[in-house]
Amino acid sequence: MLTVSGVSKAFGGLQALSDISLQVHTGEIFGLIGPNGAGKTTLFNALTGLYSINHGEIRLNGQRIDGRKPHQVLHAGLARTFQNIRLFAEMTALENVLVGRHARTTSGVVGAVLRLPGTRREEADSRERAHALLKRVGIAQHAHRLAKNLPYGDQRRLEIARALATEPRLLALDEPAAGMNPAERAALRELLLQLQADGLTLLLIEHDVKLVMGLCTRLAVLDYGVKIAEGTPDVVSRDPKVIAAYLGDETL
Amino acid sequence: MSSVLSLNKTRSRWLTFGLLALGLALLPFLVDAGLGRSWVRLLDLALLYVILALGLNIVVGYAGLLDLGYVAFYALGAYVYAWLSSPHFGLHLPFWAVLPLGAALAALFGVLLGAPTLRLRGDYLAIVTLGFGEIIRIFLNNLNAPVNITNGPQGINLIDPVRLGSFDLSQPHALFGYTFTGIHLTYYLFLLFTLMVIFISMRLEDSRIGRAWVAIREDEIAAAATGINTRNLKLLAFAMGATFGGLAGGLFASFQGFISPESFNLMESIMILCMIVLGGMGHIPGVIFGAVVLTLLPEALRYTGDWQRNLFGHVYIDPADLRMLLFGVALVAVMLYRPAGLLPSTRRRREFADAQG
Repeated sequence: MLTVSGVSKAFGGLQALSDISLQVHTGEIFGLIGPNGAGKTTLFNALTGLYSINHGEIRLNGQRIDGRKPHQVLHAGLARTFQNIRLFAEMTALENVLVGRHARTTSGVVGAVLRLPGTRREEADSRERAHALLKRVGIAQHAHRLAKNLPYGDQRRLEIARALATEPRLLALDEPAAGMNPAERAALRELLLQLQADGLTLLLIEHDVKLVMGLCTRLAVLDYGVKIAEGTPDVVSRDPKVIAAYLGDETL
Repeated sequence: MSSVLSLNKTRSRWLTFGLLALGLALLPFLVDAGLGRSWVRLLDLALLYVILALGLNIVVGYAGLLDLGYVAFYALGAYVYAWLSSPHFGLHLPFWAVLPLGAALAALFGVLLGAPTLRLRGDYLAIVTLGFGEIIRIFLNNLNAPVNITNGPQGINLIDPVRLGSFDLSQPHALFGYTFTGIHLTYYLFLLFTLMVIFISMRLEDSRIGRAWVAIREDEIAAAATGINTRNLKLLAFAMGATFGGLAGGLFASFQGFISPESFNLMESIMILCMIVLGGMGHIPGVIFGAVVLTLLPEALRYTGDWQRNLFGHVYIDPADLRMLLFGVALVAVMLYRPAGLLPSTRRRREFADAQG
């Protein structure tokens, strides 16, 4: 599904990512973990076209997506959420999801002004899908509330709904459980497993080790911009380099 | 039960609509009878400013692009009309051909001026667009030599009024037993265009395009990551806004019969921006209200001389000075007590309607 090969990214003298290679297979939940500042979010930004990379290449289903604009990456089928929630605050929850439909709809100015039959159909279809998605992530009751007035956990879920509205094949989630209480986490876990069951591939940055270990098929661990381990949760959690990165090196 | 309710709702809506239409149709006569002919003229101007404010509202209110050079598109529309419909080049094309041309040229310039500013935001965008606005005005001021294109600071005179066949809109006409003067007829023409612009704005607001603009305003990065081609949509916003500006410019030229670069200075841009901010940015009724109030208020404040004479028997402060002072105070007061504008956008009404339907 996603192939990252030899990706490097430097900000001035700071090497944020060095020679990262990894593969995410279709249908899996792939976890990306590592201490703060390890380069996880930088990698996400590089994948989704927000940063240009210095070296390497990124392919989604064989199609190169590095060097493309964010909206082109999204068109190729990679949607994302943000670590510090980025919703359209002054729009309702429903409108946020409707914006997600933008990439998969086509009506323009003339259609909008004249309300042509095609535009009406498209709009009705978008609304129907948006309502269904809000229901799916469990915030249907908030459809007409402004995004900024939703509780924190629901804002995260709304961001997932907005990303799902773009019909992605790979969904990249940047710390979706951050700031959630245990009940919300359990609901999120259920949702992610459901999405996987529906055939969606997930890429997940997460700090909650329990969630990651229980959920992910495979993991990659980043530390100081370098991939130090990759494999199943079992293997990774026993890797001495990973333990050193998280808990500190015994020899120090 | 619900069908009866919705029937009632439709009926009351049509009733409101009918009353509003009747009110707008009679307005120039009421104003003429009550306040005098010069106020009908002001009414015409107010309609022009409604068009301008709604145009700028697309750029600033929806897409969140602070454009301080908007008057440039107004000027372009006006000059295109003047070039093609006056003795200046000896061309006298009909208005229905010239108006769209002016609007189209303004749209083209909207894209041309918008393109270099795409990476800029907020204050920086404001400064660059301000510069563009001034560049256009200075060009208009100086393009009278070696080839006389704009006639420089003297401006272009004797611009044709709107004519449909032999029906000259600037002349009085007797219709249905009443005499309609030029400014009355102009009112109806401008009203027609204003309603068209309002209609287009409303339809755009509640559409895929309108939502994408608001998304860009709210968070450009998230909008791009949600699949919006921010470059194209920003250019579209500039083009749409400029189109309305160009249209208003053409109407202005035909209405005044004379234009010069002086009419298109920075103060105009600021004034149109004030209308939007004061009325309620991004909210169509608010913007209309702001445009009407800010067109009429400075004129109303001319009466301060009479008030002084009545109160004190003497004019202490020249109304021309006092007028701008009070105008400034009014602006500051509105911003202090109603920072979101006089008629701010409440999404609640739409939410309510959506919940019911």
